[in-house]
Amino acid sequence: MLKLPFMILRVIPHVGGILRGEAATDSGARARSSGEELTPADDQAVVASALATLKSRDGGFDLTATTRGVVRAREVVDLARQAGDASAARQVMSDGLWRVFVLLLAERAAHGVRRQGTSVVVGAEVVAATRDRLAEQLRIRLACRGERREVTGVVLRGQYGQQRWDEDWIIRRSADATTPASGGVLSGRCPQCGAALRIEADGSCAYCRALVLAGGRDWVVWSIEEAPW
Amino acid sequence: MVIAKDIIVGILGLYALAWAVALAFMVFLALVLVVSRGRSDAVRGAFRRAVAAGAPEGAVHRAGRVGSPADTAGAISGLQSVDPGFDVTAFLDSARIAVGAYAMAHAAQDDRLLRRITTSSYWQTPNGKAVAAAVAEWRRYAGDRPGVTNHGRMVLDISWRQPEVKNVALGDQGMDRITVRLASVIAGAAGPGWQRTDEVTRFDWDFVRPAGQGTDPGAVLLPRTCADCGGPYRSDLDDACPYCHAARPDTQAGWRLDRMYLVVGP
Repeated sequence: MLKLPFMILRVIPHVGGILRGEAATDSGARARSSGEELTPADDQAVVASALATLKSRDGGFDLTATTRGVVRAREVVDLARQAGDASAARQVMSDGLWRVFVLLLAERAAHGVRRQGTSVVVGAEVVAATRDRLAEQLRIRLACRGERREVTGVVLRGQYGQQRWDEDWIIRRSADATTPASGGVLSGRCPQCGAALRIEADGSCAYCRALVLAGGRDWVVWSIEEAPW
Repeated sequence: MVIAKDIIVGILGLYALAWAVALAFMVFLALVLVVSRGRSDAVRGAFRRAVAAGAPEGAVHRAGRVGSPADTAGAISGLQSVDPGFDVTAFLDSARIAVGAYAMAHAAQDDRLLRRITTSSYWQTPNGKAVAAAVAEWRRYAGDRPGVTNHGRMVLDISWRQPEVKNVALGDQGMDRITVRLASVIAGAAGPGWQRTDEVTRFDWDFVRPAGQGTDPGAVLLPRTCADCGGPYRSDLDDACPYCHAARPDTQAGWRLDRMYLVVGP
């Protein structure tokens, strides 16, 4: 108690950083509403037009197959989260996304956090489709139903019982990439050599050694956004 | 006797003054919290503008429209003409590792990865110093054991929103520089009781490399394989190769995080 005022005074030199951080950061409920909410869907006519343009440029593009691939990718990532084993998700995530996923699972393991509950996708819709000179990107909103919670003694987030929620899965590829004849990454095939996708730890195809999860050749799961929970 | 009494009174007076200043500071911080986290967006906007106006050089960027897509695409085309291995999707994907590294340092006080992907000058910037101070404080508490888990704080999730290449500058003072703007979303929890500590912060991230260097597609930001034996690292947190046990170097070729600017504005 005697030292308390001096402990407080030690913070004063950092007040500038505190103010700047506070000004630039949304936290708590504001963070949930401003940053974690899902991005509003684009107008459906705009999305349909963008998809038609995409299809006209890439005749092999099949939205149904692509969406099916994303749903399959979600199942794989969900299993990896539950098992705490990132390697299972290696072949469906972009390289950078997977490497952050590894960090997260290590952090969870260090704190004994477990993911519980199972869920299924009951609907999927493209809510944004964009293309510029550099890249194409689809935001696919998955309507999910089931249970999900993360616990470490106490429930950190989620809850018991059935719920419904939305997740945005964003896939991206370079603007000059086209759908491979084999179906590509989301179909479990190497976009370069067409072999069944088996990814080495360095991110390359085990057969042809091409780096296939950077988005340069084919769609990759590039980002996963969840509504607050 | 009188002198001793005066000294005691003086010490007590100084102590009372320390309390007064400390309490005034606490009241000031409470006011800041009320203003910045209150419901009024107008008040919060005024607070943000005032902070941006008073911030030192190199600490914040004002929010504003990112450069036109055509200009950015043109600049990237220029980069690709001299570095055919550069791909903006792969670059942004790798930039995400910097977001993860920052989240681990900022929210869980584990700066091992951040140190591996930053330039030395990053740690002289206001934001670098703030991260270093927070990690040092934790290290003091934890007994200076690098990488030890902070069991009082955890990161539940790290994601980003709307990454955009904001600027490309080639050959500026001998360096190529790419600025990426994005919002990082860090969902976390802190004990006791594991209250949620979610944060959404917008930053401009400056990545640099020596001018004229080519991109290694397998190591845009951080190599995935050991330079000695070629074996893959299991995690970016590995300090040594799991196969030949060679220490992982902190300074390697490729893009490096050089600066982070807080983006202040509505």
